[in-house]
Amino acid sequence: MAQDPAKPCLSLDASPDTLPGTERPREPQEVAARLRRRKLESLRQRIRRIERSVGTELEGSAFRPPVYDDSPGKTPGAEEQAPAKIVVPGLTWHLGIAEVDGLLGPEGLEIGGVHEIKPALQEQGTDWAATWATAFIFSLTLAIRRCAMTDGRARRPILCCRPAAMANEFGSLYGPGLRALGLDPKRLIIVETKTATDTLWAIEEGLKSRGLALVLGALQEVELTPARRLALAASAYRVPCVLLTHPRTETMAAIATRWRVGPLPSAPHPFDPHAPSALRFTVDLERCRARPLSAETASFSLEWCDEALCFRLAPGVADRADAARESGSGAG
Amino acid sequence: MRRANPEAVPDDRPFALVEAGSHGIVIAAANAQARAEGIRPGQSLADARAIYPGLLTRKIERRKDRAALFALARWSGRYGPARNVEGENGFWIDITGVAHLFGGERQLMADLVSRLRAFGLTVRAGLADSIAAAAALARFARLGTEGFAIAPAGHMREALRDLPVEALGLADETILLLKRLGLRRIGQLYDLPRPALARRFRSLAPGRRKVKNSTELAGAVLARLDAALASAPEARHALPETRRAIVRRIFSEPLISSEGIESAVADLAASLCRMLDQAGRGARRVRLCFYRVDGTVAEVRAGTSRPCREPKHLLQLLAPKLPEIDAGFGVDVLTLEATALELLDPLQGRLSAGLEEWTEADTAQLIDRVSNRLGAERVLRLVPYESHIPERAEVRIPALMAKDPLEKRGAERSKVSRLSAALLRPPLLLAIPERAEVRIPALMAKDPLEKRGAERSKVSRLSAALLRPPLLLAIPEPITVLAEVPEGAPARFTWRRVTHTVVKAEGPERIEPEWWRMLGPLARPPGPRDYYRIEDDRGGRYWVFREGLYDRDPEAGPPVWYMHGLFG
Repeated sequence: MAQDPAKPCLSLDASPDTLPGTERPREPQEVAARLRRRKLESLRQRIRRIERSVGTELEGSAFRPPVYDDSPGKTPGAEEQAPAKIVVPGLTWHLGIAEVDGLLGPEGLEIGGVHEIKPALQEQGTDWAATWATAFIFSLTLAIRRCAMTDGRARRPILCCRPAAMANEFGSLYGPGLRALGLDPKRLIIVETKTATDTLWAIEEGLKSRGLALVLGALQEVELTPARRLALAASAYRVPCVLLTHPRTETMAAIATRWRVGPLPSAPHPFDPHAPSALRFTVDLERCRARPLSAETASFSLEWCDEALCFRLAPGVADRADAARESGSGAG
Repeated sequence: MRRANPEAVPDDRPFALVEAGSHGIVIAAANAQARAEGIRPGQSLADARAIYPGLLTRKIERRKDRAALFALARWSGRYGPARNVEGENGFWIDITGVAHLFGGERQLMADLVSRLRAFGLTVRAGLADSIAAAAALARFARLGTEGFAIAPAGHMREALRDLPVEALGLADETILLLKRLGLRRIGQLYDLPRPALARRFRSLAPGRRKVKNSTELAGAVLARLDAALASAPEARHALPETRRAIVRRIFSEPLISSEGIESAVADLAASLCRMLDQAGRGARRVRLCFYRVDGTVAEVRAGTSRPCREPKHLLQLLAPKLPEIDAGFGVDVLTLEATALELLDPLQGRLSAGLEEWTEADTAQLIDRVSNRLGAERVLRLVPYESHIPERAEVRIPALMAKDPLEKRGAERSKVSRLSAALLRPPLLLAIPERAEVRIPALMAKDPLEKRGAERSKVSRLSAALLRPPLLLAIPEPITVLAEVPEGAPARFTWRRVTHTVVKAEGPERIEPEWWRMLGPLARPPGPRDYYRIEDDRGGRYWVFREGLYDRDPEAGPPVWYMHGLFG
């Protein structure tokens, strides 16, 4: 773990100008305000770490200082980055949109954390399967984003655990389709269990093994104690866990983020007005450790780009996108 | 005996195995129906087809047959330790001192025959004082429905008297000579003065040069006869015993406590791994047997996805299963055997085994643990299969069986194929997600990643523009189409009792059934499928298809719509 803090800084030194969203601040007060904000942010992170490390001895060793620490003597280009805008390709796990990533804090999605994904609530009489599938595919895209990172673990396999009944109901993972989405099916190890207890066991076992990039699980509900166990395992072994749970069950405890995901009609196809085009999601970020508990849910309309393997804000849904931008800049 | 693949061989129709002969293709073997039609091994295929035009044939695979025969001979060790393959299609077992374990010779033979029949084999068995006599009985005696003949001990002459001389297993040339002399039954040879045979052979042989030869031939006849009558000993080599990697502990006091058993298992695992280390092997399957005091045996099995000789890992796999074992009145003997071995060269240990270090062994250990607890069929990897039918384009094989697909070779190759896919995609399709892939056989090929790099990239390039959903229903579910558009996607449909209004649709992509798989008689051959990618008013994306065509075949009925996958 010793080399970790150095890595991001090095890459920043090397290419300060090529970073996306590079902006020169104009006023010295503004610089001071940003520095203060960043200091606050790093302190908040430390508090979060301390909170999380209660009960885990391993957490101490896995401690990773904030990436953008206020140490003097850095290149000014790197120093003056606004945290909301900084996206270091490959070193953080993020969605690839400044507006959303700004809410997640400088480190993006937490590597050693549990991320809960819930399908959007639907009114009675609508189709569950599509919503489930959308949420599941959103979690797959998060996995793809994880694989796009350049750390050593991103190249490892992905474990996908579901009760077999769920696979039968919502369809089993299909290699050619995954490939079209951007995920190499060869990386997948699929576990289809008889019971939910077995699924939880397999997820935990996966988190504890050193050989995985990410563990993806789908369950009806995760009780308090198993949720805590998973969170501890994820943070101790620094393997991220993405969990899809039923929309109407209790939300999980001890999670890093919670997303609520639903389908969204796609944009008109550029060449064929009758054909569906790129996948779109409505994504609500309900909870995030980087944000205060009182922060309200941030909503976005996202579009998955299967060629760049990243998200972008869905254009054309003007009001939602604007709202997202406002809330994004407000938190950053 | 030649049926390695029972599904490929119809039982109810004339069927023959063929091979290339010097004058074209000849029949190598034929089933009972084919023989009833007059088809004989040795006939040319053209003649056989003239007799029965609908004859199904397959190429004979002698090597595999041979291997299967050896495997069968090895299996038969339960009836006697000394056994080996005999001739082209038989094997012998020395059951000296074994019969009483089965309750007598007759019971033993009945057991053997019924077990072999359960394998789907046609069995003829013989039991006699000598191997040659037993083989003669098995091949030439008249057998009842029970399928075996037993010659009473010490009465070989009577038992073999009526069998044809071919039963002695002589060369064709010798048999021809014997027949010319009018010696057709083995019994006729009994009373013949021994030197007379050579003289008679000589009288038949055309030239003087054959004098020596005919003496030899006569000698062979007499030797075979002596061997069959058990009057002269016959040396036969038994199959060498395969060395088993097995360790055992015998306890003077039966073990009852679970702690005792666990520590004993740890001890066994350590010594098994030492043994494997010396042999340069790793275990793929291990079996732990508990021999209880009351004579019963319990066993625990575990498998690994790559050869392993780490006692710690073996113990991890076995330990969760130990509590299920009922020690009963105690365990006398514990054995741990590696039932499947693979070469495993010694590996150099890592100097810095930190958290960031990773080898495939880590993943393999996870697969082992999960597979052994939940069952190997529940931990799967996706392996593409060469078929354009969507549900057949991929097979799910247990991760324990699969070779690690993330090995370097594979990763490089997929990079190349992705590049080529990106380059060759027609520009019009740029906005469409691509790279559906239809690839390689996995169950057929022993090694799913070995041969077909070239093929795979070819197919993937072809199908680069195909669209497939990430979630596929294992069985397509029928949907009710409310508003049908002829030759187009449905405007409204009901699936799982929810009505969807289709806003956008793309298609059709026509997928024809694989005619080469429909050669046998089928109740209803599947029609072509027209796939559509549709989106409903709420943004749900589905993959539906229509099976059958409008107005094409009135007998097949109207086309049926199915839901097959979800795009999210």
